[in-house]
Amino acid sequence: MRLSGARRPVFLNLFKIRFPIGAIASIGHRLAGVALAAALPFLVAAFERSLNSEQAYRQALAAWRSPAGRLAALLLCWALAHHLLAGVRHLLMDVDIGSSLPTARKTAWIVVAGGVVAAAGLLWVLRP
Amino acid sequence: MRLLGGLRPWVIQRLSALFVLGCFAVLAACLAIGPPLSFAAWRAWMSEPGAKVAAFLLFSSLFLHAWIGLRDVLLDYVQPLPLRALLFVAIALGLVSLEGWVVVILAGVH
Repeated sequence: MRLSGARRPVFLNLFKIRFPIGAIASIGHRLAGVALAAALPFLVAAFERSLNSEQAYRQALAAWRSPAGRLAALLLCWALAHHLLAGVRHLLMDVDIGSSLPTARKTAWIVVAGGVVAAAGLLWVLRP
Repeated sequence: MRLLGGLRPWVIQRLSALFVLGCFAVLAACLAIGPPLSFAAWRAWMSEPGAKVAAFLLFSSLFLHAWIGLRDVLLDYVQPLPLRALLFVAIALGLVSLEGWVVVILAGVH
């Protein structure tokens, strides 16, 4: 039976829709991507300042060390780590690696948990 | 060029992703292994032509990647056409301005 557009069931109660781990990895990839895109102007501004003068370079580093900078660093490191891992997962799926459901569930867990671990590693690499 | 469909955005999204991934891996390795970067060393590095080209390509890939990603998000969630068009233009202008800003920065480093 074909349902016409108007008669399709609509069910969008977010509290009742189940979010399997694959959905969480996927929406996390999207949210992280939007956050990273929003950070681009700040990245270019920091790039400019860091090359301007010794003083501006120190100021940029000081901003990175400040409490607000640490919070931004935490958020952006997680966003970058999760987005990279989920992105690699998608690239592998493009060439049909890990696209069966049981494997996809496992790799989704790896992405979600690995994103947190890799974020900690990134914070260390980018320590001020 | 088809802006809103077809294979091309999909391919650009993946190629830019691979390029950015490679650059980040190299940068992270340099930062993890090397000593803390001084201003003089950083500026000297960024005044080399090779580093400028690499930085330009890296920023360009990031902006292109962001454009396709944000475009996909708008296509999924923003249904009213005028609003969608407005956001497309705003994001495109923003990214093109950022690209111009990067060129100005790189041209100013000697």
